[in-house]
Amino acid sequence: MDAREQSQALHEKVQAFAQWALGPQRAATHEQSVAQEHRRFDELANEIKEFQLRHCPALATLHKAQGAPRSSLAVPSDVFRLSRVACHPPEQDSARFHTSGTTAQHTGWHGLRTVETYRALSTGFGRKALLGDQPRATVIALMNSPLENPHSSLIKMCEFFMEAFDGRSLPGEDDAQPFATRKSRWLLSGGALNEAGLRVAVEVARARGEIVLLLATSLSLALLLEQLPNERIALPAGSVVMPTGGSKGRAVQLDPAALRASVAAFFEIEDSQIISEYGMTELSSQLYEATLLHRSASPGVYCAPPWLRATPVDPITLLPVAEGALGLAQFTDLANIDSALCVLTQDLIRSEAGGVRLLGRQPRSPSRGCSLLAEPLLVVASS
Amino acid sequence: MLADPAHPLGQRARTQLPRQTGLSAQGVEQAFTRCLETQPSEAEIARLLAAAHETPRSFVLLSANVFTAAHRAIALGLAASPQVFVRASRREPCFPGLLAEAAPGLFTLVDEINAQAGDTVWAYGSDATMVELRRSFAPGTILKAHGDGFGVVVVRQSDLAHAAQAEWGAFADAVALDAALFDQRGCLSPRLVLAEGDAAFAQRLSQEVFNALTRVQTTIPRGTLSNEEQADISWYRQCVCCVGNWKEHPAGAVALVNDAMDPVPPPGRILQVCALSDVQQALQQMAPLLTCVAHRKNSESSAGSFIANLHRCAPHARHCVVGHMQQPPFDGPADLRPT
Repeated sequence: MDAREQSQALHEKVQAFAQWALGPQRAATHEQSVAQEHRRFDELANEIKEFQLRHCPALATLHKAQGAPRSSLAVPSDVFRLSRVACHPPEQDSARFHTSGTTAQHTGWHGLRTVETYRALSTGFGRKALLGDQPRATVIALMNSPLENPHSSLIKMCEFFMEAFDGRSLPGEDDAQPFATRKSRWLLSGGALNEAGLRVAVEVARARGEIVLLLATSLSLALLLEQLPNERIALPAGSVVMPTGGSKGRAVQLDPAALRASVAAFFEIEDSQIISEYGMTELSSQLYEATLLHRSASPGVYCAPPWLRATPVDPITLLPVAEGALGLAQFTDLANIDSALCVLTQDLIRSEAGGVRLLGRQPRSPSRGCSLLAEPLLVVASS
Repeated sequence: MLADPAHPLGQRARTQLPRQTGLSAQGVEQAFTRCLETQPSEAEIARLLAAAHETPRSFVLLSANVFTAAHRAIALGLAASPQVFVRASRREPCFPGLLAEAAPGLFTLVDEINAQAGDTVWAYGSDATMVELRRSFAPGTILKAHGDGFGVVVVRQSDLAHAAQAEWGAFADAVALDAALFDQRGCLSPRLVLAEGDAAFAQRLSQEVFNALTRVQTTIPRGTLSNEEQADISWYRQCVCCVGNWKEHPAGAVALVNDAMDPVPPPGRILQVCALSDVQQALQQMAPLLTCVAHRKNSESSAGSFIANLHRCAPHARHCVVGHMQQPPFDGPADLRPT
């Protein structure tokens, strides 16, 4: 098999694993299921690692490096800005997602050979985490449309959600029109919120007798609250708001707890119906607050799907920390078949019952100099 | 007094500073010997006075990274005003305190900066701190903000093409010395070595610099790195290991990459040798961040025009011969970029 065929076979295996892990056909007892799931995860992770070591130059370089800990094949998220992290040539990219430039002006990108695994896995776990037992929802996004932002992995995922969880037309939409181009779904454009569109979608959901799933960034929710300070838009009972992203790039930092309370009040929904998402361009899988998955779950604790492991690692040794200790988030994402199985971030996490708690960014040394990641430092190509 | 190891204040400085700064005892001594400006010339003092504009009151907010920098910063404040208030860094209050003892009444140590309209604040620290300061001061307060920056060494293959091994070693030793002083925490400290030439040249240069870092360790041992600094190094090491070559020793490390790479190395004697086809282009692009550009002392006739070009590419950086990056003339702020 050539590299493309090997990749395709791995995609099929990961999709099958995800389908099995989310489905009812797992082993009879919980313990057996968990053990089986871990075994299958480890087997797939090993296969993907071997594939990537053969075909991804950045991984191969890391593997051969003298200085890197032998146990860690985690690719720092910064590397996506420095080098192509992919097992296939650029001409085989079917999508290129640009990193948002959390702290850097120079953005990187994550090239996907196929988006089908991204589609299948994100909608599979997204359905479970965001819809619970609801079969359908009217899905809208307080975001720019894919036409305005064609290289956002988040916006692409929202488009998948619209197709998979809704799939019908809002007033004025043409059934044949791709969701990416339906202006009534994407309620942010050129920095302006389409309040009327939001109200129309809510009325449609009421008429359909179903919930609204509102996908939004924290910044766009803050904008909505600022623009409509004395108003309320009541969503149908059981509706869900999915905020994502922090307040980076904003002059005044948002208090997540205050934002959550304000959003719940604005839409007249329970706090527990606000399900935050954590994702990043360098990953193909997402974590969600688990309040719909497990009613006893705490807000702020994020649950990973069975094909994603979040491991807190020591910032100095890059080895897993003791149970309950704080560490850098290292993700092993089986869906990252054609890039990096293991991605290291500068987000701090702690393992807790039911998932991981996000605890901000790793503080940098005061003498780091040069908040250089935030500065317009260049990447100068040499000949 | 402070520079004198026999003076009681000098003795206290040598006892307290290694603990406060994380530098080795030899690192502290070298800072006194090489970097504290004890004998500025008349011309330098004249330029320093000219660099300071008159102000009713001067406030000086110090950073902890380079302890001797307090001397220059306070001198600038004094050049501008008879009333000088100094807030030391919480991480390094020792040296300003000793300066106050050595020169009683010359300035006042304070816990807070209470600047009013018309006052001048000379502030040294991170860009993030500078942004916060701008927000916090009363309108009309003049802020001279010296934020993040770093130094680079520039070298062309032609500079060393016919050099003997001893000359390669001397050049690398000079780079290593500049990085070793203050364990590379200063804003003038070199982080990058921009190497114009082919891959073999960059490869040899990185090996020479690595060897020099191990040599300088015998005379100026690296001090203690904070947990955050060690974490920064781990992150940076992992990045380099994906895209370049990494050599590490308890004395420091050298990264060899094909581009000028962001992130740049953290402090702790970590140097990034960048193989480039055009150092001047690289320099121009990073100019806003550059505080110091060092080059090899070169007697070739072409060197003059090359150095003139470096000045043109990074007009606000200090330019010097490598090995002297931590010894800027006492003629104004170490960081000459517009405030």
